[in-house]
Amino acid sequence: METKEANTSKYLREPVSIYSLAGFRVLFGLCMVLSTLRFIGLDWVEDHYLNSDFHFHYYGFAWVKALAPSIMTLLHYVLILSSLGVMLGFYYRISAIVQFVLFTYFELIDLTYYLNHYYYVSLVCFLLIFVPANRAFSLDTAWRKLKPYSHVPRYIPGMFMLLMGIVYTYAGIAKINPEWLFNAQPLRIWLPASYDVPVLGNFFAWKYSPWLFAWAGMLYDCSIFFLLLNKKTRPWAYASVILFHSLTGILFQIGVFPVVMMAGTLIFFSAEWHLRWMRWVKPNYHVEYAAWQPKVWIKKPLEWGLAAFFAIQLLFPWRFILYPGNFHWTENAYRFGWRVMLVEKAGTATFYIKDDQGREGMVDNRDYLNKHQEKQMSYQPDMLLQFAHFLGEQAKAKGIENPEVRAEVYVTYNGRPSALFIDSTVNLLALSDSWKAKDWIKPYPF
Amino acid sequence: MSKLKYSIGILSLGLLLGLGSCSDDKPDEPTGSFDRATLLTDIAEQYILPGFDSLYSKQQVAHRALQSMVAVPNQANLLWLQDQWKSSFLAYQQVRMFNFGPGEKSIYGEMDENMATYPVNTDSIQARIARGDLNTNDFRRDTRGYLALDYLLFTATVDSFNSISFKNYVNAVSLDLFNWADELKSGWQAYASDFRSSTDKGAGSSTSELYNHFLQSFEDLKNYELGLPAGLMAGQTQVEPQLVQAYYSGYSIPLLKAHFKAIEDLWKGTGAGQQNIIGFKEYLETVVGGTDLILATESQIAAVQTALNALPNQSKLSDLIQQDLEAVKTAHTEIQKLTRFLKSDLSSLLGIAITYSSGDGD
Repeated sequence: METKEANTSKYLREPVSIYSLAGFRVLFGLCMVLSTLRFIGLDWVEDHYLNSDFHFHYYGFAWVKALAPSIMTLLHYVLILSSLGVMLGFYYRISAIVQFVLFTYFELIDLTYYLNHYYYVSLVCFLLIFVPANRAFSLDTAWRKLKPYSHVPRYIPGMFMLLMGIVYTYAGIAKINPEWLFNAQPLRIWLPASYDVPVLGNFFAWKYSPWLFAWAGMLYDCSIFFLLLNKKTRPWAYASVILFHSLTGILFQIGVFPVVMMAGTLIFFSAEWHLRWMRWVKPNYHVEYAAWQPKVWIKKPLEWGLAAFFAIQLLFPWRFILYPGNFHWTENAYRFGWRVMLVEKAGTATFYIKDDQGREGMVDNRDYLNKHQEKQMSYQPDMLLQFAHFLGEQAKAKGIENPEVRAEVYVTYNGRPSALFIDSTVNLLALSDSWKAKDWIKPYPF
Repeated sequence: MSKLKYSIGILSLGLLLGLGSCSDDKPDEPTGSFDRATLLTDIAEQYILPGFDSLYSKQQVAHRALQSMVAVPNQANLLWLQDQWKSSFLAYQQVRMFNFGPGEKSIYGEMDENMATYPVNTDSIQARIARGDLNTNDFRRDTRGYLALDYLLFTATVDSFNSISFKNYVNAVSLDLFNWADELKSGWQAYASDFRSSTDKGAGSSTSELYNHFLQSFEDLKNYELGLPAGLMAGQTQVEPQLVQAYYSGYSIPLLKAHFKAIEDLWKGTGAGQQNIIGFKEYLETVVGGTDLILATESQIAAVQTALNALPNQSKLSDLIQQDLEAVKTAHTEIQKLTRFLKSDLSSLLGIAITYSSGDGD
């Protein structure tokens, strides 16, 4: 066993060519620049962060607040600059730190806009801080004369491959359930709605397509990491990456995600491949052999830190096992687990505030929430609870000493008739969010 | 290459299993294909355009009635004018949910805010009359529109029309409504082809806009036409009958019923001439789970109808709230029960992006 362990750790530390890492840095930075420009261009800075009286916070991150409008817009331009810095490898370390901090800050402001791919982007931004991705094909080496390296330990590019492998494989495992595979839901709702796409529309509307897509999607997600790792299958695998993400891009409103994944999976390509396009950009580009090693004082913390990071990544999505009930329904432990495009849910949430005299009145959610917020809140229990507490504070501010807030919430799951989601008699102000299971959620009714 | 073969093997096995698993499906399984273009064309041509045509002609008659009253103030002309106001505002109920496209032309707010804000601010109206302020292009939407006329025409006597400043103000408000009706009619004629051709399912597509405004209008009806005056909203400590729509004319109940009928018609697919057209219901017939939702929705619509029928047309809603609050509450409750069928369940099954400017999903 000892030798095996020693071999593994030796294998992970072996020097490998740096170019796939540097290429990944360039492409990822570019995606960040483009997606932030798109975000600004669509006026989403205003729509997401500035036009609401109330923001849903992440558990433990209630202290993260949106800043003044002009500052929020400015910060998005700073994010673009930092991503340019990452892409070009210019003042790379500080750029990578700023990129991670700003992007993650924007995500933490409002839980409404949580997306698995934003979470993935945040994690990649974090890892980029710790790697020498700027030591080849960068302005730091060309202009700032930092020492160029041709090789890095295998685990350095490897961590980005592993993270991508976790994203895909966990997304695939999440699809292994009867609802997805045998009922072909929610694809039976989603696919026919795209009947009018040119050329492919008839195929999407074909009776058996939901099952075809459900199985193909599951098999793709479960196997793509391994097929990308293997040199022989890699070209075929990448062709399927293009096909899969093009299709999902056509079918769903998922923004830049397909592009990020199509660009990101190129990290599996050989260093020679990356060197080829780099030489197309910069003819005769060449680096003398030099193997980068982390400085002695950081080596252990870095390696252990990475081990801990990936242990958490591997384990955290499984926490749903600790909770009772169907987590597709309860949403307990649903987030941060790569459950991508897995269910179709919508809710109708009506809140009632009771005043000190026992008089109860209905809330018009539109008075406080935008459409996106209301839609997301209406089937996610922690958000329902947050909004109830916000309403309680509003009532107190209006002079009601002991308000009670309850909510009548109906949720539809994969097209089934909506059912009562939480106990509509419970005073939500008497509850607080925690890691514990929420026993005020009604059992899965279908 | 063995791994490649292996993966191809898995893939084909998966496809076989996948196809096999649906071999036992029911014969009445929906086909899953629905032509949104037909929905949009039917609704544009047989619902929206005739609706705005009708609004235009009704408001034209109403404005002429006002001009007659201004020229020859007498009791007969006043009654005729009041009737024409009712008829025009009734016609408006059929189109008030189409608060987009040409309805967004003004920088001072959407169509419904400009034409039908209530309660109006009577002090501001009186102040404007006193200083001869006839401007209808500002954010003081509570001094104009149908409900300003509700106040002015139904508190007025023949005598009021002897005042030049009163006459001028009433005329300005009525003319503004006529101009809106005119521009909405021509605006929709021009916009209809864009509306019909935006057949995708994304945010901002016609189906998404249509659905969103349909739902908003329904929520407005529930919360503002009934909930607020009946004292059922959060923060209220008592009934507030003066908050009903059309308080002064007391015409709230026919208006409420017409508004609900418009929503019901769009869902069921009933055109402006009561002919059968494609509505959300036909859309639902083609999707998995749609039949159940149709049954649930129709039965709840029937319950709403029963509750609304219990509110007599000739009664004033503001009086009813004080005399028979239970009947009003029942109507509100039944409408509330309908909400989830129109909101979460319908939007989910339609498979369209229902958020506005949206953001992405994953």
